[in-house]
Amino acid sequence: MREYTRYRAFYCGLCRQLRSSYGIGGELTLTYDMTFLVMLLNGLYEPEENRRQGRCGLHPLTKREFISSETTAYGADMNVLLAYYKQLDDWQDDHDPKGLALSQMLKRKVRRVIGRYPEQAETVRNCLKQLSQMEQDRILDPEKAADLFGKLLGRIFCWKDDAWQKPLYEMGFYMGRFIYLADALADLEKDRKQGAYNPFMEHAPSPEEAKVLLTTCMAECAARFETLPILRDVEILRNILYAGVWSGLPWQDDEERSKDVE
Amino acid sequence: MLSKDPYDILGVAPYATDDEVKRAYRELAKKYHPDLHVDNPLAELAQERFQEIQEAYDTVMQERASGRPHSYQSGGNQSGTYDPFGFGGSYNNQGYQNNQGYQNNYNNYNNYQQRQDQYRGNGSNNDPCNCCMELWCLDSLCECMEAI
Repeated sequence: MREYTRYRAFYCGLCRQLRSSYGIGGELTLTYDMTFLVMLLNGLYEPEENRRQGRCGLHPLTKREFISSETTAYGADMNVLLAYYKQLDDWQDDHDPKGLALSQMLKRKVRRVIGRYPEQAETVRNCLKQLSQMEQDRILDPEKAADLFGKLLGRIFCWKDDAWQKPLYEMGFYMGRFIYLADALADLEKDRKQGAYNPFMEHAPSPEEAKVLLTTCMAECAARFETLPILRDVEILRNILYAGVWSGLPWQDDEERSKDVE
Repeated sequence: MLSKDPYDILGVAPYATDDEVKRAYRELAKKYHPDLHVDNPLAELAQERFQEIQEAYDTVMQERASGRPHSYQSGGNQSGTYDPFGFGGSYNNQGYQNNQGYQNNYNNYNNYQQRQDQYRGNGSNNDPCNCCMELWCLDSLCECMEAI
């Protein structure tokens, strides 16, 4: 219970940071993945934590805890970077007006992030561009696409240029692959019905193959994680890596428990 | 190349738990981190020590990850480190498609599945949210978000 509240406090801390640094545009980009990164880096570098009690707009009735640190600021910057380029692609590809609105809101502030983290910015921009191009050209190559997203997340995971770059990059890479493949597989049926692009639309793996594919990604990610000298919040991070990431996905249960799925 | 047993450098026994190794590393790293010795005449010494500690930690963790028992006679950086990204200079083993790489993958997969059972098995105990059954439910409309 205490572990869950700490995770939520970091999530709330990240949301608050996004709001204060980037306004409502920033708040809307919040994802859970960045909370994981914030806690991962927080555990590795153990920076000073800023803890406050307060209320938030979405849940005005109860007081909650907000935890933030240097890593929160980095997570917020990366969150916005990712959202900005993603929305830009959405506008350019589909002329999705939401995309334009969001990217306009963030434009000025994103420039600062790009200035501060040019390598991350370049990687994010290039990878998303290539992914977008594959989609445009209807290229069906899930491995290549997953690798692109892996490179993107891998680069984002590298906050500092130090001895932890390699394991962090690899963690991000494999987690990125997992996220991309899991999303694609989970959306396959829906995309097929709508005639939408999905890298698996012509050759879908069987459920068993999918499970192995995804498990391999997380196994490699977790292996790197276990080599990091993390003690703070290590159980929360493990919970996410070994169980949390599978939440809502159909490939987690064994035959015995498969009755409970759906 | 390490000239001393990495466990001696870290100041822990070879049978120390992973957490004990990590704790020992963190304490030593904190002491000898270069940022702390910028104006210190002993800065170079601290830097050497810091690098030694880092290498010792890497050696121990890699050894443990590959499931090899610790035998110091072999010494130094073992070959067969799986590096599909051609990342670091010290990782000069380019042939990552060799047996060692395969074995590492197999180990990783097995280790992962074992831990999965651990963390999923306890799912119902850790799940504070009864309404949505999601372990980390952050749905803004879900009641569990109100409970602290």
